[in-house]
Amino acid sequence: MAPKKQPVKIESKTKADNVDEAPLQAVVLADSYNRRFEVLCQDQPRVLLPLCSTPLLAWTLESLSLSKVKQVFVFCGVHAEKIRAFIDSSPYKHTLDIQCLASQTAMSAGDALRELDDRNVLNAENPFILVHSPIISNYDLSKMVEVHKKRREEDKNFIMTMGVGLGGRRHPESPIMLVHPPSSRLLHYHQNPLSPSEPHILTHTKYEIWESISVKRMHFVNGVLTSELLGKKIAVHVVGKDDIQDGEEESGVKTDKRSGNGGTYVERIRDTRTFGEITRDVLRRWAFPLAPDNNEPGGVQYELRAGNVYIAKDNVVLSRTTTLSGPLLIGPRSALAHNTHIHQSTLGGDCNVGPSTTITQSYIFDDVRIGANCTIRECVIGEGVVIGDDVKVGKGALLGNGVRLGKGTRVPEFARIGRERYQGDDYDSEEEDEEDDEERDRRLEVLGEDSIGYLWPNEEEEPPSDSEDEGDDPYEHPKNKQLLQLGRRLSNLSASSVSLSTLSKASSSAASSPLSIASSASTLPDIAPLEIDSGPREEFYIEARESLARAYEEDHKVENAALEMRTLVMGENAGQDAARSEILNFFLGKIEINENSTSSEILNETTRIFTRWGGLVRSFSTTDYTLIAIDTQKFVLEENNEKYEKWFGILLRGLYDSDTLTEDELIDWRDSSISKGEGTNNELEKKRWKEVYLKGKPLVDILEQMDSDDEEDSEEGDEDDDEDSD
Amino acid sequence: MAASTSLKSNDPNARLTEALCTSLRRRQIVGSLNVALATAALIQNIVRSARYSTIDELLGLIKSVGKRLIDANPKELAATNIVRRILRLIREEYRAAAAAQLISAPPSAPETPFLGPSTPGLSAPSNHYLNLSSTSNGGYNAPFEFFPSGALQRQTSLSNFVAMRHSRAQLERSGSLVDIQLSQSTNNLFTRIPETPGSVSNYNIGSAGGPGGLNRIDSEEFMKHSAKLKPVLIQAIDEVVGELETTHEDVAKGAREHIHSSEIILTMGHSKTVEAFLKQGYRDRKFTVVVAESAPSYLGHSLAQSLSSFGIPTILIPDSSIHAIIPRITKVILGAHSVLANGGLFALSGSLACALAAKTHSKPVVITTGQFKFAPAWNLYHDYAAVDFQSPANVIGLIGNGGGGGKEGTEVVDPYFDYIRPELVQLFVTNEGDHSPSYIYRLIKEAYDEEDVEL
Repeated sequence: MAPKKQPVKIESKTKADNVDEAPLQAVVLADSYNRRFEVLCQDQPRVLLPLCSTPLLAWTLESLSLSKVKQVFVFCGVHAEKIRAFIDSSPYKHTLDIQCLASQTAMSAGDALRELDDRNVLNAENPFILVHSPIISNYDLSKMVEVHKKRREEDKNFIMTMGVGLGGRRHPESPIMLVHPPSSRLLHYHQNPLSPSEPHILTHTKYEIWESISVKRMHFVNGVLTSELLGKKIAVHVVGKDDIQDGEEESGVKTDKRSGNGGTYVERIRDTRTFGEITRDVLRRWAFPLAPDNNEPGGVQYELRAGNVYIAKDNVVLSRTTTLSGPLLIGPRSALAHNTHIHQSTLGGDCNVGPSTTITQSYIFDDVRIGANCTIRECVIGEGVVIGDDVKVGKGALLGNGVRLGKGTRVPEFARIGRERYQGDDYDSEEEDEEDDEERDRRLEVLGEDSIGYLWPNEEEEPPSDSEDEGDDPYEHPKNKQLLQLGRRLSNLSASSVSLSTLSKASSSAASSPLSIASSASTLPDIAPLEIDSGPREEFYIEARESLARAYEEDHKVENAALEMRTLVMGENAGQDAARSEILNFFLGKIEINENSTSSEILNETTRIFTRWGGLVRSFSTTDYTLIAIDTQKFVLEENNEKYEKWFGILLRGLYDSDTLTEDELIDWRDSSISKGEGTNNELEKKRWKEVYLKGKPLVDILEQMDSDDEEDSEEGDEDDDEDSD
Repeated sequence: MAASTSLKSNDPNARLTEALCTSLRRRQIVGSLNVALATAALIQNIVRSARYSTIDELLGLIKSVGKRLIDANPKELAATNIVRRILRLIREEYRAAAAAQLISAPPSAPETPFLGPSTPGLSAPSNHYLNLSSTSNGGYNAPFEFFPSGALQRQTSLSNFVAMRHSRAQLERSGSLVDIQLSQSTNNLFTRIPETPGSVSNYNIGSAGGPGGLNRIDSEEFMKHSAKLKPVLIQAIDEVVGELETTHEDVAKGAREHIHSSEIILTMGHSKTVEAFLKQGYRDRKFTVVVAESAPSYLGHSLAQSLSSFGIPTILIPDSSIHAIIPRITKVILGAHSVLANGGLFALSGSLACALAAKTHSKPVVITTGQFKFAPAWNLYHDYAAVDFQSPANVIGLIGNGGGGGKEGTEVVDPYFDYIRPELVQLFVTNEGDHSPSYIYRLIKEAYDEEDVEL
């Protein structure tokens, strides 16, 4: 409490040394842009779903304020007014500067960020924290921000740092990341559905290969930074690693070791599966000090009993014969009748459970009435649901708010029941869309006469949404989506033992066309092999050629053409090597060569084209310009390009004259082993490389000998040489 | 009532309070001493800058802050201890000022307190912020306030309070009221009767007029003197802070009386008090220290490091060997997180194992602690959550199988504290002398005002 003077700004909360720093900002995307929770979220946003009777948003805000965040932008899609109302009534209003930004138009996380950027609310100077699903964390994210700032000081090209937790459960959405350990640089990002969840931190010694990698599509980067991303770097920060180093520094300060250790729980609520797991983690105190009895963000007081049983202090009625086996939580004013069994579940406030009912691993929201002799297993039950006597709810079921189940109903496994009818993506509100007979029959058969609610199609049956962003998202693949559900087991999934040898341009395993699997498919799908950098798709080459042709014919500016190419490279995850050779091939192909063209004609033509377009080629070879020469060499060796072969020296000369290549780069080319045919597969090919190499070498030799001051001599010498080599 | 006053939300002090509350709740400030210092600084800020027109209001304000602090982390009792201490100091200072007023003020004013005993029917419940024993005996109080040394009133250490209480008790004894009051007040302290108006009116039956009279001075005179009083109050709080800061040294002063040559001392965790105590003792005596590593926090490692770098022969053992090594130990010295009124205490988990082992082998257990950790609380009902359960990550680790991943079926229980019953402890070595567990309640009673027991 250093500041003795009257504190003027919000900074009074921070220590004195922080006063002149800009407040740390965070962006919370309140919308998930997917439909995983939809049945529960018909009349409320996902971020207000209660986890342990506290809205997810409250947990997120608590986690953020634990990270010394001062300003939070909550980006809302639908139900923005509810989020606003929640924030206005929450205590965080006093401690954080929270602003709600509503947008109906953003259809993806990328859209949301673009829109955010347009509004200019973020401080451009400072990094911000992006939270794209609700998090529960006891980790101080501001440490990560510090590390990010440090990285940026060293290398301006780091635009983003991703937080990664080591360990944790296996999750169908875990990516594989290749990271260069000394610089924490992300070299490759690969979505890896259905695989073990530990991020594979590979200490791959040959990381140089990946020097010019491009980053595969990531949910939030995509679209936002497209035109700038090339050549930028993304760092990966392993949460918890820095604590070890910080520990030494901190020991001097007056903090106990206690506050520093163990504080590395970070989880995101992404789907119903993680919802259930994280609930249990919170009850088991993994997120300590975020635990229900430690003044939960919601402000409800809970009493902790042995076995991680949390009972609200406010008028909970437990029968003497109630069996509680933790971890579990019972909200305020709930009443459990006799012979009830509650096992690893959460009950919201004002719930009523009838006699002899068993509830196992279920998450029940506020104000739910459950009758007698019910069996409820591994499901989520929305607010205000009424369940009659003798009802059996199968595992994985989701009951939306306000659903009513009649006596004796049997809810099938993984069923989704909503108060309203299911509305697909192509749903048109204008259309009077009456329930047809078949659907009604099915509904009555399953739910019975007394129930109120509509059966939704199972999640994996949902037609894949046709919006462009999600079209090829492997995580939205039905097989994978199925595993995101509450109640599914991952234990019999085995990891494929894929070695790093597949890093070569291996055959791309057929991009699995989204198969629709039958709802009854209880067998678990096999695991896709690890596939890294299989090269860009065919579409890329077609598109690239088209775009270049357009640029060439319509005479675009080099910058514009480069921009277009970059966008394409990003979109197709092609990498700049592929792009460069494509560009080079295109323009070399534009050089007209026929039987009786002379060397000077070809030289003039080459020089003309590359004086105009050389900049485009160079802008796609940021690291090593000798690659241009090598690509040229490769080009003339390709089939159908024999006519170029004998003119290779002239082509190089043309590239040199048009400043596409400099003298030093040509010398590097001459000295490199690749140009002499090293690394080719067979002798014949090597010989051909060598031949071509010998055509180019004299030029470079002469360039080297030549003094820069007598231009005349060199030109003559050049010409002589060319003739000689012919 | 005064206690209902609270800070406005736009007040900078409200923000400071909120900040302290949240950092307490989020365990960003841990350890009794850190908490105590932060609390003292906060209260000092409030006294300095908050707006209040009467002393009631100030006391109510501080009480409400104290209430929020205890809500934020009920296990950090030091925060409320400090609040109680400061409340008491403010009353003392105010009373001194009022007494000074009596001397210099017109003759009508001094008479008011003396009306007290003669008008028992006039109960004034709004004044129960006032110390019962001093106000109820206005007549005897007055001479006390005229004590020749004005400095005495301003001295703030606990021992002085004890001294003051003794002298006051002697004065009271002549009035013979003391027995009833003592029994009443001890009753109140140790059964924790909530401070309902009913129980308050009990006190006031014999004495209600007194506070009323004093209050009358408040409203009229206090505003005039508040400016004068403020620096005095701030100075008093400064002294509390100073005392807190020197706690370790003060405790360590007695080290040579407690440690003999060639003893083998068992300790655990990393209590700063114990560390200072052992280091001080080693200046005069040569002994060996056995440190239990105190899993899962492994604070014992850093203590062993620190002691051995000081030159003390140190042996680090795993917690599992405590019982095996105890026959060779001559004394167990432990730190405390907080000491309760019954003489029991909360200490780092593992301490109970040490204390029980020592009990089995009849080895003395000595607790070194500052008196600011003495809390007027009892481990009533042996509250399950009172030992502050931590994240399982400390025990089974997050890396590899964290988040319950590898150990889904296992429930992990990781308490941070142990509750040690009073009968397991032989002696408390404090910054104000050595005391047996059975005497702690007395010290607590003397250190805090009864009406502050329930904030």
